[in-house]
Amino acid sequence: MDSQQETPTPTITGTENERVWKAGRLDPMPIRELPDPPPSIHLLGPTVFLVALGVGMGESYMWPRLVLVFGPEIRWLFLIGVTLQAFVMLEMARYAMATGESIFFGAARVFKPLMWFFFTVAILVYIWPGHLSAGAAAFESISGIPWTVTACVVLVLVGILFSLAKVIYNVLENLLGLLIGVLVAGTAVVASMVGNLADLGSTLAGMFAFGYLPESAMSETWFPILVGSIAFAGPSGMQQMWYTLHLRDSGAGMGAHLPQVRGLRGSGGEEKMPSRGFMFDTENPAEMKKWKGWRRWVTFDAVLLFWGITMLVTISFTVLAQAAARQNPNVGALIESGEREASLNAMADSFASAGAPVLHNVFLGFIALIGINATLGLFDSFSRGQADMTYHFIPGAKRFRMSHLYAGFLWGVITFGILILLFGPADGPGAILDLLAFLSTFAMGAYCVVLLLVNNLMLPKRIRPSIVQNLVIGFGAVFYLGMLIFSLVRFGVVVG
Amino acid sequence: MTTTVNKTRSPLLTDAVVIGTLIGAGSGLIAGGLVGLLGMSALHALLGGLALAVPLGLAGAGFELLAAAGVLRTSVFAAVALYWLFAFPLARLLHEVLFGLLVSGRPTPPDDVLAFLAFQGLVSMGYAIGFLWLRERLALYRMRRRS
Repeated sequence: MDSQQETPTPTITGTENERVWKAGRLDPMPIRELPDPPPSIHLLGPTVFLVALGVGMGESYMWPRLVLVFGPEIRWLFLIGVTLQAFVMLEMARYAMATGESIFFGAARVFKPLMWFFFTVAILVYIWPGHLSAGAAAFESISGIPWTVTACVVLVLVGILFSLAKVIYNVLENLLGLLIGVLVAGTAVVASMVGNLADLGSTLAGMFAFGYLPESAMSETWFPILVGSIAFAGPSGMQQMWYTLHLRDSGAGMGAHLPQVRGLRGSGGEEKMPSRGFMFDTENPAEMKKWKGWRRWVTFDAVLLFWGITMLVTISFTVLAQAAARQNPNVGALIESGEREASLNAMADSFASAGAPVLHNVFLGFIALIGINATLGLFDSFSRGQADMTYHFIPGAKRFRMSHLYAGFLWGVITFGILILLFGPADGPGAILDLLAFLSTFAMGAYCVVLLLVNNLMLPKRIRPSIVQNLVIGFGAVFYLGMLIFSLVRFGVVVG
Repeated sequence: MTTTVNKTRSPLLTDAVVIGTLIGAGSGLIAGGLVGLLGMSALHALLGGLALAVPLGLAGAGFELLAAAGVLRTSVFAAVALYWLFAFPLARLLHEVLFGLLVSGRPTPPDDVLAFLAFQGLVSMGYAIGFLWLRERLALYRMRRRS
């Protein structure tokens, strides 16, 4: 078995025509030309997946809840959490754009068990269909259709959509882009109708109250919830790792040299997936200039599209929660109690009673929309990640096309999801809920460590992260793992 | 040569204005469309939706016309945000006034107009990003359909 100590030093070797980049014990990467970067200012791109996955219950419910309990000053922790995630995104993109390989492949180059750890965590954490419940319950409040029926129908529709798509990435990027555009513009309009300057001012000022941590936040009840909320600020669990697969399919950087994953209908036209990625010539100044262009492109993604949109949606929902609590004090009490569905309904009711009845359904419609975005992104990402690892690292799996493996995982998780929705606990068995919550947050600390190893050991020196970038990612590892372990040791509770 | 350019440009400009108007009007009508399910007064819902849809739709069309004239550079986000910093608060102010006028027969401007406009101006940033994102998607879709 490989070990970190046995990992050979990366080198470029070979004759002029057959130059390769050797990294780890896996197949060396042939040197190919880096494609020209697109203009750095853009709106279309793979970040839409990260936004779709990242803008979820953390932004629409968990953080507004914390604001009502501890005041807007608690939002400085959200700022730290999302900013950290923007750095993680940039570092994930570094490896994926330089090689066309996923971060899972990079982890396997360092030490294969690292990759198997993430393979196992993904199955344990993401096969449960609980993420559908909030959106489907909101839809039930609007339409009266039982949420399990909606959830099952959505599962089947997602499976059919992805199976019929010729190239899954293109269909999903367009669909999620439209849905998120509606969400961002819509929540801004709704916030403009129910909020006021004081709500917005306090929400914004609260982001800079660095160090604010009331005594009650350090209690057994609230600290684990705080840790969970920080972990859910932006993309949580393994969502950042899957982003590397979306980057590859979007053709970013060296991903342009690898074929896209197709739906079952278009699988016949799929090119064979190479057994490894590619590297560009980092000694060539012209290639390095293009690399800088690609880094500018992804930095724009991280700052405006990811960080900016995540912040805007959370600010809008926090303003909504504050307005709801002001109009009806019972809403504040319900939100603080942690009854999610009841809180969301009460918030919607409070808008209705405050002279804007239409907002009841609009608000719940946005919650349902967030649920649909997350489901679309999650099912695609899970299937994409598992298929990638299976194809490259399970002996004999290369007999199948990537699209067939993708479809296998997709329909597997859909079938399991429907069975669980009908007969079992949607979030997972009660006995292992703590373990699942632990693994989800632990994976975030673990991927920070993996990023440090992969980007510093498996990439050519010229494109490795700077000391500042390494320090931020190192801080991320300590931040996630430290809070998780402190919560476990001090309070005996994982995360809320 | 000039004629050819105009012939090519005209449908593209029409497309752009339609897209801008649709996004603006759609944003306002989302609210009105959903209210029927709640069993509220359909007329009030429609009036409320239209009172916001019309000003936002006009603002969306204005955005496209300025972009087509080269006055507004859509590739620079600051320019887009600046446009909506003025257009969004004005549209919301019109919405408040029009809704009262349509429902009760008298305009109902906000109590503190300056504070209202300041708040709407801050929220406009979110609307600007959402508008721009939707615009890019729809424009891409139209271009593919044309080609």
